[in-house]
Amino acid sequence: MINTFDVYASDLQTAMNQLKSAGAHYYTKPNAGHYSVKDVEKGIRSNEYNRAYAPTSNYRTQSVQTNGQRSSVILTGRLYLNGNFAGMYDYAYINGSVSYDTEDYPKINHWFTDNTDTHWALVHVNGTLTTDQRIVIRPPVRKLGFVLHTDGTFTNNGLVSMTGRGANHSGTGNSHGYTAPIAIPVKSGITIPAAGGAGGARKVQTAAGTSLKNDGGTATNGTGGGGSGNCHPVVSGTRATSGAGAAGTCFTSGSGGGSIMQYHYGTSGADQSGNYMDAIANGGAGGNAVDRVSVYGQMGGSGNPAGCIRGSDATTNLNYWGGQGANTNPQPWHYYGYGEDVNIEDKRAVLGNSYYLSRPYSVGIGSPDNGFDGTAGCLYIFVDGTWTGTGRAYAQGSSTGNAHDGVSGAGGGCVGGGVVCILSNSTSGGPSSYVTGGPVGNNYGGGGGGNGSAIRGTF
Amino acid sequence: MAKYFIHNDEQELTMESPYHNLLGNVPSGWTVVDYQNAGEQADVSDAALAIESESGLTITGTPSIVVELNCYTGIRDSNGDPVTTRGNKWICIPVDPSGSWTDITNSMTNWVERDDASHDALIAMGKPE
Repeated sequence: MINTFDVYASDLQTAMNQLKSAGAHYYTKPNAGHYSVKDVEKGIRSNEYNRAYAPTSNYRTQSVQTNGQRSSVILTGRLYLNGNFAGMYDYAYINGSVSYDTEDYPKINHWFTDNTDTHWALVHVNGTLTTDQRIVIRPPVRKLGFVLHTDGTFTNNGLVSMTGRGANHSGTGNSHGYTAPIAIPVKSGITIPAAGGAGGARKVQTAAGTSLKNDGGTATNGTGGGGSGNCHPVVSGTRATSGAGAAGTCFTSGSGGGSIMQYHYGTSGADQSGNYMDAIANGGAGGNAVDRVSVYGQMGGSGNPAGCIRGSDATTNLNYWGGQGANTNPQPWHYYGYGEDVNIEDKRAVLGNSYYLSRPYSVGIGSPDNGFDGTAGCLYIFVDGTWTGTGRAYAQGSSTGNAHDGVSGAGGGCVGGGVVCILSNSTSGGPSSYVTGGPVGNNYGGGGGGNGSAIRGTF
Repeated sequence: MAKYFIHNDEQELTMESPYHNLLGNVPSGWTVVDYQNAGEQADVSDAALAIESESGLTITGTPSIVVELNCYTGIRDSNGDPVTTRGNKWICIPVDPSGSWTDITNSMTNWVERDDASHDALIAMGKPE
């Protein structure tokens, strides 16, 4: 049975050390705690009673994992840091050194629950951890944060990532619940601020001709803000306004604002009634595109989920690209690159589909169905030993669509970068951290996401 | 024209094959800038802030380059005719740390090609009926 254990700690490092002790206790005493007879009966019927949930070492030799419902997650509860409620958590405890190669990849999901937006994923490996080149360690759903704590050297030759896994903790839209942002004390001298970089402000233009936007901001040790939507009044009109990006928080980077690209723009945009072009705060939805049709396509900002698209005809479905004028048929995204990094693309194609299975050039990995959903989260790697290997740690923001993605028009705002905080026995060396905000792509893209924070410290 | 290479001491940038030791083989004409100050605080260095001020853009990540590229200045003019004039514009382009300096140079060319193609596609979409 999963035990409930509320954690009160001065900082995140202390919390993980407390949980390490608790994890060792509950691992050897799986039935510890107070239960009613009904709970025990229920546990026996579901084959969960008297079971040690955490694996002892490698899954291959994991006889305890072969019967009944097994998971590494043995604790859950509330997490208080420095007296402030930081959200709920699920804690996985792996007893012994672990080495994963390519064939082990899917089994890492044993570390995580499907509690979305409201929970941290806290993982402890009571030994060393070694990952091979194709291992990607990333929670399957959005989390308030992901802490991977090893009790020895972590040789990371693969990827550890919170790209696309920032929580929508706004309590709105597809959020699974609200959690108030607080300053996250990681250890003495390192604090993740409650508010990350500012979102790019609405871009207002009264003169036609130029394609402008505002990028997201940065914050020391914080996540990046989302960019504003592209604002492009093309030929004639009075005033056009794109949607604002949202600020980052301690749990997620900021989402992007919606775009506007109009031949005759009149007075239209985010400051007009009926438009919802600003991104939702606290990792919420990206802003929608402007509510007026145009010759051009107009895209919503990236976020949880991405904002609605406005095509170029009168179709009322906001996710439909529409007729795209006389020359371009509505079509799904063009698929380009591959790999974790948005910059790794298949260079054989400048426009149009590439030859190989891949994903849209501009989108970050981790988004459902390769869309533009997702914000960057916060990744903490605590190594009580040496952080080494040739892999990488990621918490990158995604872009929005551009013309080379099959988007014939203006791009919405990009998502900011997240936080990667690595504590080990050295403040340098080892796999690098990548916290880049969503790149603009071309002159018709939305505002870039603010860069996140790559933090190194001693454990 | 100034060309800046912005990095955050990513380990790949000093590694040899299969990497390209980018920091050890910086071509002439490029200025290399550390994005973050040293220490446990992830704050942006004064040198990086100066580049943001000079270029009027935000450095959205590392490693990256900040360069001036020659792009179309718009889609249509006030008469609705296609814009064919070009001008220099500061751009921040993310860099693949696994790539070479040739790849970086090519990324500048590719960026302009994509931007030109986008421009042409938007022109081809015509005018309102």
